[in-house]
Amino acid sequence: MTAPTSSFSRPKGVVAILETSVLVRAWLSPAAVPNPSRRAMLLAGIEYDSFTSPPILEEVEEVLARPRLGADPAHVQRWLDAFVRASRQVFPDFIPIAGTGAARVVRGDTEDLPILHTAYAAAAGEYPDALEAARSGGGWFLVSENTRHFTPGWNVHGWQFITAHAFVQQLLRRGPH
Amino acid sequence: MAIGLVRDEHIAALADVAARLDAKGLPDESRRVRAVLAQLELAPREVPASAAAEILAVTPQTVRNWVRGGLLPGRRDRTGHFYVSVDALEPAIRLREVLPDQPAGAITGEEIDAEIEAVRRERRDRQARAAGGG
Repeated sequence: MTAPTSSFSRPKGVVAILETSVLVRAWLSPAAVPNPSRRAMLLAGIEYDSFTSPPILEEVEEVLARPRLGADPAHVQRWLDAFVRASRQVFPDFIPIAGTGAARVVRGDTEDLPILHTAYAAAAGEYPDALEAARSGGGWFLVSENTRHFTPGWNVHGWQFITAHAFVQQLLRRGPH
Repeated sequence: MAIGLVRDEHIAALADVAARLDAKGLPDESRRVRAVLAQLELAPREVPASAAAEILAVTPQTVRNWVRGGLLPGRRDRTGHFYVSVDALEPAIRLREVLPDQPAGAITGEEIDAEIEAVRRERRDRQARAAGGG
C-alpha cells in the first residue's frame, strides 16, 4: 500500500484565503451545477494552498446557524473539518490590523474582517514554502464575494482581492494549453 | 459515482477490523477480511481524467492540462489517456462527501451578505457590551 500523500506535500504556486462570503455560498450551492464559490473550495489543497483560521470558520458557523439559513450545526462542523484538512490553519488572534494600511483599500471596519487578520497571520506564519512559491508563481489571493468591502484587483501587502469566479478562472488558465 | 472510491483511510479501517478479529480469536473471519483487503490494495490508485474532472468540477481538458503541466499528480498512458492519483484528489473527495445539495437560487447573494453583516453587527454589540461592563 502506498503511504497517504498529504495535500501539503508540494507547494501549489498559488495561495488563497476564502472569505466567509465565499464559504457560505459554497455551502448553499447546488451539487450538480456548483457555483464559483463551491468550485473554488473544491480545489483547496489541490490546485492552491488554502489558508484559513478559527475566526473565519467560527463566523461561517454562526452565519449558517441563523434561522434564515438553518443549517444543521453538526453537518456544518463535518464540512468545516474536511475544509480544514484541505487547508493550512493559522491563528490570527495576536496580529493587529491597525497601522497595516488595510484601511486605505478596504471600506468599512477593517478590525471586523476575519480575512484580513488571517492574511496577516498567514504572511507572518510558519508556511514560507507555500508563500514563496506563490510569490514567484501564481500569486496570493483573498477570495471574497463581498464587493461592498473589497474591490477586486486591489492589493493589501501582496494579497490581491478577487471574486470566486475570477479566482477559478485564474486556476483554470494554469498549465500548458 | 467517482467519490465512492476506496481510499487509504478505508483500507486502514479494514486492516484495523482484521486485527480486531484476530485479537478476538476469529481467524477465519479475519482471513476473509484480509483477502478483501489484498484485492483492494492491488486495485489502481488512480482515476481517469473524466472522473477527476467530475470530482473537481472542471472539464476533462483542464485536468489534462494540469497533469501535463505538473500541477496535478497523474500520468498519461501509452494510448494517450490521462489518469490522476486518487491521493491527490482526497481533499475534494472528502469535501464532496459532506457538502449538501441545495436548490439553486433559494437564497440570493444579497440575503447571504445581509446575514453575514448581521452576525458582525451582533459581534460588535457583544464586544461593546463586554467592554462597557468590564
